[in-house]
Amino acid sequence: MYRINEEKVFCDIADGQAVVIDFTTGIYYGFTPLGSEVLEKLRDGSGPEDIFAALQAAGAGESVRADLDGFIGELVRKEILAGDAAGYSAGTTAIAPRALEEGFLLAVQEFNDVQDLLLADPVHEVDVDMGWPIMKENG
Amino acid sequence: MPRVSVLMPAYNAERFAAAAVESVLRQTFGDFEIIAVDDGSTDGTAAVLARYPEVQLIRQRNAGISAARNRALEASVGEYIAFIDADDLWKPDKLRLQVAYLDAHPETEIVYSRFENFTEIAENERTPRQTELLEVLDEYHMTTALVRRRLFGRVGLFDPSLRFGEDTEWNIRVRLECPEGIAKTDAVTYLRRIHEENITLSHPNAGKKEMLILGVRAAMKLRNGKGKS
Repeated sequence: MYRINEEKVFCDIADGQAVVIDFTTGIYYGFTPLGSEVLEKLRDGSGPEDIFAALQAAGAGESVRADLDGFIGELVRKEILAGDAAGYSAGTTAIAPRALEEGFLLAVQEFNDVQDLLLADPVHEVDVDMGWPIMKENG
Repeated sequence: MPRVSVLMPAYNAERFAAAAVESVLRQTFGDFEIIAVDDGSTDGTAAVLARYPEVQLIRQRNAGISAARNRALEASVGEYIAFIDADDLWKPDKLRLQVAYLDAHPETEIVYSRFENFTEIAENERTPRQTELLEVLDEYHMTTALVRRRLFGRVGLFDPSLRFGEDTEWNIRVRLECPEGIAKTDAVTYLRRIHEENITLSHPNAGKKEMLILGVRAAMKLRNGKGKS
């Protein structure tokens, strides 16, 4: 099964927009609405066959199969996804209407314009639960 | 009116705040004001800062580092803005070098310098991570910068919703909004203190994820606003 490659990337999907950051390279990725939707479904356990069926149900032609396989292959090459297409059980899923705002375009864009900032390792006096510095009582 | 405003947000920093202030007072460039915002400290930070008549001390209820930085900025009057965290130090020539740079380069909006990490933790008591951090010589850290006040008008203030990483997120906005106005000098002018309470976000934990995701979403919003692909 495919899974987000958490050893290399952070993935956040909110309101239909996926953001992936490769924290080892500082490169980040943006997606078309349908790309975000497909990534979310893969993250949540839907397999390529179910996603293809959902795309067809949403009105996509047969050619979307090649687009889907190409998109998933690109995510694997970029090490955003790990795993493979084996191990899925048959299921059903549906494509959210907002995912089709740009039609059936499946694409991922790569950005390196703030690569050094994302790779920076500033020291922060931070407790990850509290945020702004929380010093020890005997500090 | 001072040419430079030095902004110091502080929270529970009584242990190191005096050293930070004194490193500013030792600057070879003397035309500055210091504005410290005590963000609801529960220790003696405010008392330490109040000992210095050169420091304008603002006390507020705990609202976060962004709110503290923004409050200090709003109270400041200098043409150039500098930052120092309450547990760090400046080298004596920091302001002189950076003021000279901005004076000589009117097209530059922000000039960064390098920083070094230092510690007073005994060598045999340091963790491996603390030892590793001492070898970092980083660049483009917001707190090393001297900034023209007008740049905040272009890119905005620090995001008060961020519990941390507000400097990285702001830096991303500067990079995307004003790439032509960024400069960097090779001089090390800022010393970041490694102490027991520091943690680093180098490891892929939830805190770092949140910080980076917010920064990238801000970058994407800016890009989409400019019609970039």
